[in-house]
Amino acid sequence: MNKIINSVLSLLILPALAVGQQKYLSPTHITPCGDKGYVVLSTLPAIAKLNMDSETLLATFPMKFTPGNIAVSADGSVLYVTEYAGNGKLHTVSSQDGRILSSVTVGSYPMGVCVDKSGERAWVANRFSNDLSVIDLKKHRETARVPMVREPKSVILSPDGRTVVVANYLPNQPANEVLVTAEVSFVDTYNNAVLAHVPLPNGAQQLEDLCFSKKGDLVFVTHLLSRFQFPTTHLERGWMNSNALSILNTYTKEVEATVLLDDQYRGAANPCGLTLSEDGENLLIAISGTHELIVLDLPSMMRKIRGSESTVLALSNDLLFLGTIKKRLPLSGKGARYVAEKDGKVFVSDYFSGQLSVVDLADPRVVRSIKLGNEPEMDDIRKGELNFADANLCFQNWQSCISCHPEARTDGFNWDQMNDGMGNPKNSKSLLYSHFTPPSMITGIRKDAETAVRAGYRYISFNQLPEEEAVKVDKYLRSLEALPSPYLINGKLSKKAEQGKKLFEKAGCASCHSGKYHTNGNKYNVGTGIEEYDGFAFDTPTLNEVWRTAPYLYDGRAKTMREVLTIFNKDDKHGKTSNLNEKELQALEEYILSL
Amino acid sequence: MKLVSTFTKEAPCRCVVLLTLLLSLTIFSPRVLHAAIPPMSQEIKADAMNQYYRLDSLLKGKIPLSKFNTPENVHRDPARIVIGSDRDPADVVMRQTMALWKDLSNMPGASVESMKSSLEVLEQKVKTVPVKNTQARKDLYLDICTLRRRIAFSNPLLDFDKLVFIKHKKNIRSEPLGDHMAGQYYGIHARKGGEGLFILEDVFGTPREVNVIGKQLPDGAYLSPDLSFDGNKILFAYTEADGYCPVERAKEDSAYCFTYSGYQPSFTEKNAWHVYSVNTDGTQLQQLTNGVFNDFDPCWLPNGEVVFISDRRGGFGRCHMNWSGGAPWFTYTLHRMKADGSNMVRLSHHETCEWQPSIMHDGNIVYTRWDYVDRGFFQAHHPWTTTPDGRNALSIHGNYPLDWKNRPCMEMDIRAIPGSNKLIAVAAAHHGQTYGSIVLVDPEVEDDDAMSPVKMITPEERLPETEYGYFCREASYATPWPLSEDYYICVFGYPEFDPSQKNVRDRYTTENYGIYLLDAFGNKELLYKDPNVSCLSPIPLKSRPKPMVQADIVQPYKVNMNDKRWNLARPEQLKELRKIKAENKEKYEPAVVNITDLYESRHQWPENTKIAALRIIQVLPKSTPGRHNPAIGYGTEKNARAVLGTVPVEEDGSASFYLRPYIPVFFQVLDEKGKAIQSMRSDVYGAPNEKITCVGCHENRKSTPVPKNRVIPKAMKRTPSTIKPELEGSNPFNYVRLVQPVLDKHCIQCHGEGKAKPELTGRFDPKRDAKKIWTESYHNLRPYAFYYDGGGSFVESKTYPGKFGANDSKLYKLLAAGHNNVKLTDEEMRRITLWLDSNSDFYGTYEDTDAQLRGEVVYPVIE
Repeated sequence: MNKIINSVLSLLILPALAVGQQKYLSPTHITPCGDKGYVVLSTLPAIAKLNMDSETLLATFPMKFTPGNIAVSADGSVLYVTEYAGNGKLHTVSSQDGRILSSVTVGSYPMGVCVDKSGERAWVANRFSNDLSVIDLKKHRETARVPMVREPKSVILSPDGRTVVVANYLPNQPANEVLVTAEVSFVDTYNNAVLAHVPLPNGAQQLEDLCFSKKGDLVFVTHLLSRFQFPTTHLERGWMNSNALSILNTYTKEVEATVLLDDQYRGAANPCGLTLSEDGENLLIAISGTHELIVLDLPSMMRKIRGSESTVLALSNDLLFLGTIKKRLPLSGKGARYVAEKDGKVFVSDYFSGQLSVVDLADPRVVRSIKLGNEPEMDDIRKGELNFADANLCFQNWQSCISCHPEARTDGFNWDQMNDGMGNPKNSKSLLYSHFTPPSMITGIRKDAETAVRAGYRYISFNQLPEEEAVKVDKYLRSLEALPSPYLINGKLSKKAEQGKKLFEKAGCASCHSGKYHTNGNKYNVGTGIEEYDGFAFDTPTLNEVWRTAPYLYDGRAKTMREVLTIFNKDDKHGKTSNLNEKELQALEEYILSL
Repeated sequence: MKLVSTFTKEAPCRCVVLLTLLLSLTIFSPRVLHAAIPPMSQEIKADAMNQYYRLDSLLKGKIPLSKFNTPENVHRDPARIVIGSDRDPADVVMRQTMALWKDLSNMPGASVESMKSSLEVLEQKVKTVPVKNTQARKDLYLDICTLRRRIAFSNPLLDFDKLVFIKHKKNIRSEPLGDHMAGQYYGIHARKGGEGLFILEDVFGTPREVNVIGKQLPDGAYLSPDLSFDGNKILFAYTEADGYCPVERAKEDSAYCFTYSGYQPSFTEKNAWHVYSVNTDGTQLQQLTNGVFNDFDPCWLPNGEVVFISDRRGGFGRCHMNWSGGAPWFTYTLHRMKADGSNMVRLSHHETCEWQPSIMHDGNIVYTRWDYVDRGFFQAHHPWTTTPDGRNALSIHGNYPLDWKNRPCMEMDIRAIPGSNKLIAVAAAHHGQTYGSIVLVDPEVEDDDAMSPVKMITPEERLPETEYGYFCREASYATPWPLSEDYYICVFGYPEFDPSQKNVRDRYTTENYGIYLLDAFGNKELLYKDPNVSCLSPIPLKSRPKPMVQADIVQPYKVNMNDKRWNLARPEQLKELRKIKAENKEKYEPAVVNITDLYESRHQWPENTKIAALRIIQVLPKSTPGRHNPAIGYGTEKNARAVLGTVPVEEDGSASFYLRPYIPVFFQVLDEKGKAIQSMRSDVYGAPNEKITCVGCHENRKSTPVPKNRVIPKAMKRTPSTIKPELEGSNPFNYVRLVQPVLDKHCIQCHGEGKAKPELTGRFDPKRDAKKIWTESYHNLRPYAFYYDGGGSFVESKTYPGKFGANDSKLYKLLAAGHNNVKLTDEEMRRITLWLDSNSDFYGTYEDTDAQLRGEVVYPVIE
């Protein structure tokens, strides 16, 4: 009976939300509290409230903004929801009716949020201002901003409340170095001091989610391990990308081990959400590329790690290490994202299916589902988005397009692709607007983005993708829009950026970086080519969203835009910048990063 | 009679059981296919009794169990066959049935709950009926079998009611006539009479066969069917099985027939295997291949094309004898064609046989490959995988065994298992046909070069040849089709005792195979049998999930459809083929080999090893028929070689070079003096523009590539090297050109004819070597040389760094230490060490040995 009432309720609520066409639900983070669970419906946008015991949808709270993540007060009365926007906010929301009770301004594009047991403080990871906000919840204000490394997405608080741990999504080094890897940051909650930025093994990226062990002595993080030092000739045995779990010691701030989630003959592409079962026995990981749940027997895994004589490096390459410690369970929907567990029941959000998959750990062969609302049928754009994220379209499921192009942007690494010979790795490019700015690749070797999409499936996924599926991917990529820059103030250029705009013209940047997409589509030798690229004329890349796609230049050797304008433009071949003073350089940089 | 009385005695109980059974089947069964499971027919009862006697023999120790019937080596319950507490077959069958029931009761969708009470009743009886009441025990045994059959047929995995299968007669018990792993698949050995392609309808009810081909083809032999992923089309091999067509020696009506003492078998269209396709209803029968070549083992690819085995590869087996009445055996490898037979290409350029391709879940081809480069013939015929366009041929396990008695001699008929990463295979004999014991192979288990990845599914069947010894004939199981890791459809036959056979090892033989449902608990249910002709290759007639279609990245070698069979032992054929090759110079873009770090090795390099170069050696397929024709070198049945040359290795262990495509090659790692530290004992090949990328010699196969302290391997930053030729006389190999000149210049002053031993002249001693095969120097240097033997001796299959070639030879050590006043230039020393690193061979090509003896360069024409 309850089920019927709830379905009717949700049917009534949801049409009220839909202004114009129906929107996809796109469930992501699941935050449990007692017998309730709150799910972010990221594109509706809304928050779904569930009863985890009866597996029913109780209510859907429409949101007027894109929710990032949700933390819940200890008594379950209020939710703390991040507003994922340029002017980010942390909203306190009633868990009864979804009304916003109060809001605090934080940094740009806040995603992760966690709150202490007493409900006094919250921490918010601001993805694109690259920092951590510390919030006094009683006083409704931000008390500190702690710089992070790059794209902090996920933040968790230790059980003893003394340490906050943040996963930085992408690496921050210049891409042409030997060591390029993302870092996990440890912050002291007493004085907001950064205790350490801990680099994971070489090649770590897309650090999706974190959780603590029961005692808080260990931190677990899901991520990819990219083997960028090798040419992209094949996929077998994780030659390009492998998929991993790292275990860090909270006290020593060291990586104890990194283990691979893949099998020898089949990858576990794009591990995402991660949680520890309440009894501390199992680590539960959503594998979004292969639509699976991985269950790790935690005590057995730690015993094996601690009993092993292998180095961290050796373990991080061992495809057989986990063996029977790991179970891979297929789910009923597509795009497994985040995980929650209660009483041996595991809930996984299926991003592309508008539902949660529910699995009983005791007998995982039967998978149930909880519909989170009316999920419209997928149109071609949505199907293209799924194709882009689906590792079943990749030989042996090692990766999806997401693996080098998270959210269709860039992972920050250099890759040695075969389209122009070997031995000349170049920086991954964002796919935003690539269909409107031919040719593709920094060398312009692909006639257009359509060609590049088909070449990607053929030479990177080794898949003879049917043409109609490639067309859907084109449609998806064409539909992408730039996120407004975090450098904008209320959607407008800052004063500095206004000055920078003038300099952009004066220095000659606008002559090639012109038009709506800031590229005239031509190739130029701007003096940036070295060694085999000495004198090479590169395709003019778009500058839209360039604030997001560091490092810069064809080989990623410029860590910041500032470096592009200064140390890598000594001869003024790439615009006249040598005569600019400090203030002017800052202004010019701010303008470019505001695009 | 007894069965009937048992029925009536327990009538009320049984009625209830039957009613509940029927009810549960109709209500809970996902599909109503097996609603009416009939009682055991006479035939089934007879088979149950055959199993009874077999179990009885096992219990009494008359039939030995496999030595691998141990907990570590058996899949699932290791005690499933017979255990100490089993007193008689009724005990065994009760245990096995209970295990089956337990497993099915845990399976979602199975409805066996209703049979629990009957089982318990029988279990009680098994405990109480005294063992010495043999007849009562036999009746009890049959009762259990009756119930077991109903339980077995309640398996939700049996979601089909038809099977595709063939009837196929084993080759007769004679190695020259096809009782051999390679010989079994030549059409000249095929037997006919009652064979055919069939569909079995109502498999779990009242089975009846339907002949798919009927009169569309003349009476002949059938082999290797494969059903398309959508379940609509069947590929199969057929030959009219015209036999040897022996032609008298006087009448050479075909220049292309082969002479063996007495017979001159000729190879015609009518005695070769050809690939056909047909719809399951028998319509649209199409012949896809023709000619005098054997084309068989066809398999549907996810992209709709066909991968198959063909002896169009060219070349002969190296170890086959020149039997009287026997025929030369051709090498056959993986080929591919479109569904209409067009665009035939060769996927594998390997120079010995390959068998039975099937498709893995990732869309790759899995097959059995015989690997025997610089090692014995007996060592490796195990699973390999390759992409549908022939790239990345990689061994799964078992390519370097420690001892052939420690594991299956061959793993054949390999198939991926639904819902699992494991594979099923038949453990078969080298000197036998593809029948044996069924095993499970786990590709993800660390290979201990013995049994670790392998688990026995039928441990009551000893591993052929491994446990029986050479040339066994008794082999019970074949062509398993896996439904899951624990349930299979296969064929099985009982060995028959034929005391008339002179040879003891020919006395037990299995000739008639029926189709069975088999499980991992020891239970077998006969589905169908033809007492006159064996059944083989059962395939459930239904659709199955199609793996991802892989992109074709490279262009495989286009087969010349006008090619003939060549025997280059015949001078006129050699001349003709040379002319053809000269006129049709094939020019291809090279492949590129990229090695990221040669130092990466599973085995220790000797201390202070500095790798200076890589040597590339081409393996030449045998172009003349018959064993030791010629004797290439000291090693029996060895492969001939052409040393293509060397390429430099960078400081960081990386190398990158161009490689001629479509030829099998292997590598040696060289020190600064050009001596091999390590040598590969397998081969690789590539297609034009293929990027053959590997790590080192030999990296851990269970590892992702290990990042080093560098941005990119040094060799990959530059253009690939071109192979620099080695010393003259090594491409192709020729001892008379390469080595003898050094001996003539520096050695025969003391080691001449009649002088100090060993004699090192280039003459032929009429007493020792009347046929002029090898020079005196070559004969006499044998104890000082380094070589791997082939043949039946089990040669250590793996080379350890530093323990190879010149470095491990008496001759080099002797010369390096200083031998009287002998002073060799660097080049002259390298001639010696190059010879020692080349398995101390004598000849290069197999043909035209006279010219080679004269010191002429003889290039191979079959590559």
